[in-house]
Amino acid sequence: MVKEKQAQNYKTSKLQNQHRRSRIMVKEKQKEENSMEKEKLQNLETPKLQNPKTPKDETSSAKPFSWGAEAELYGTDFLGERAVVKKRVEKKYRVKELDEKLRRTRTRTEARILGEAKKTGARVPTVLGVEEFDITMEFIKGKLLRDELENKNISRTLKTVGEYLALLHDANIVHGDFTPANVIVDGNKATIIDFGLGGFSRETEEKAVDLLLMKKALADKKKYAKFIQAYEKKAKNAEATLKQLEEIEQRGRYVVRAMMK
Amino acid sequence: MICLGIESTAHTLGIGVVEGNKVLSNIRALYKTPKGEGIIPRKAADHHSENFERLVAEAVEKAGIRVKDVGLIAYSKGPGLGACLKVGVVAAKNLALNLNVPIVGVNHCIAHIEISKLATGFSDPLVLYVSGGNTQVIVKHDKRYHVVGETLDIGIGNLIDVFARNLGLEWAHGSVVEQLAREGKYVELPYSVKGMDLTFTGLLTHAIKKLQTTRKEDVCYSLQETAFSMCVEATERALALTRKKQVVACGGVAQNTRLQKMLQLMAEPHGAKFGVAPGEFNADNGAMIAYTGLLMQQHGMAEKQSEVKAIQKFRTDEVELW
Repeated sequence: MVKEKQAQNYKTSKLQNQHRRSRIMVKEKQKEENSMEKEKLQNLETPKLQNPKTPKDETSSAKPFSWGAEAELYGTDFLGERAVVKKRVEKKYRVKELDEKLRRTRTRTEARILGEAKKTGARVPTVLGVEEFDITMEFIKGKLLRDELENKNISRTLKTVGEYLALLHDANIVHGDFTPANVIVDGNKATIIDFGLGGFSRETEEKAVDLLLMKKALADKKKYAKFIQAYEKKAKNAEATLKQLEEIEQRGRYVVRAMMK
Repeated sequence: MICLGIESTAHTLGIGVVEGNKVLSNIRALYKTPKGEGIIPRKAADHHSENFERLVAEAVEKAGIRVKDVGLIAYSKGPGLGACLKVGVVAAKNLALNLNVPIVGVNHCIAHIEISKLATGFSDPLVLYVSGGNTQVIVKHDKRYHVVGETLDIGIGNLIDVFARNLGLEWAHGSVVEQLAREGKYVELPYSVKGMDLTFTGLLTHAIKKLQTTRKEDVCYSLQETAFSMCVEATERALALTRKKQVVACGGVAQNTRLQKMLQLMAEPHGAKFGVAPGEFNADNGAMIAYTGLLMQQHGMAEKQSEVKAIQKFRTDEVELW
């Protein structure tokens, strides 16, 4: 039985074996078997990865190309395609048990959110692999919306971003840091990135915070209107969320967070 | 100019005498809570009233000045316990009228920050303010200290004090918990950071429950590790966002050496320096009120006698500075 299964595995999942060879792949194979199955499905859905070329040696650079409070981003090569590894780095100030537990659960949660977000139809990076503390995901080409706001054709993108947020919120996914620095623009396409502070929530409060951060960061009323009108049209519970937004704005202290970006 | 500062937000009555950047004296009297109880505001206020004259006389003598050399009176305006604040307010008003000098009301949190900046020599730090009633991550932007992250329920000092009372200690104080924690091992406790905001009540309930089944040293250790990690993580998020180059901890809990060590370890990889003022300025004290009062007076922020009053809920970001 076991042998048979192994043989079958070997035959049918060349792709999976290539994953195994790749250094960025899961070390604890057994533990991650389930997520590997998922990845396989996702990869098959992505035409680019259906017929992968011979994987080159991993070209991950030693230095992160970007970093935040808890994670570093590295460029890498995934089956011949450009990819990104988000690595939750060790925090020396925390005791090891606590540190590892936090990094492990957060990595898992973020991967889960990305997976669920993808199902809503909003454009988010595809998860290619999940390790204990790392997520490997699709590389998204383009520029940050933050740096493209003065572009003439940006209003169409803002409309798309509004629609995407509506899709996410309707699936009870909140982003937690929804600013133009977390949207990548490439031509007409927009991709929402970095769900590191995200979560699953039905609370209008948390949804309204997503709106507020974008509102403060956009500053320009016309631009914000494009975004919010698209959101209002698409989101199921837009009225309640917008009302909550007004209430939060009275409190004031959220203002500076968006301003400092 | 010499300023006499009066601090009376909670269980400490502090009198400090400051001239320019120099602290001439800084003394205090502490209202000790009865075993197993928190501060009773009325009794703390009585304590402050009883000790006020004695403390002022001592502070002035220790500073080597005469009362009439005082050119400014500063008092803590809040946040704090109403009854305790009122004692300070009335005393300050009285002194200012008698000496015929200007008076200025100081936000207690801002005073902690300003004295820490003086002590560390940092000009524009990211601040973690941790005390009994407050836990805030603060950054200055546009003439104002902004709270970018804070506790959504109780302050971290409150967490530690209430926990310490449940240990049945004669003197329920953070320093005793710190002592016990040195012998402890890690056990799991709930950890709750929401972006840059924190919640502590779940942790408190859980830690108290844990005392029934676990060595108290282990719970002390784990409580500290968990609560401090939460604060440090919120601070780190703010640091990554603001890219500041200096980090300061202030407030009573900032005296904890483990917390200091953790902040140091956090700041280093971000290329930021960490600093903390000596303990006497992190405990509630009069010198910080006096020093901040001087700064405020220089910027034309002295009050009319009719404006002198206490504000119990006085937020750090309410004050426009310079």
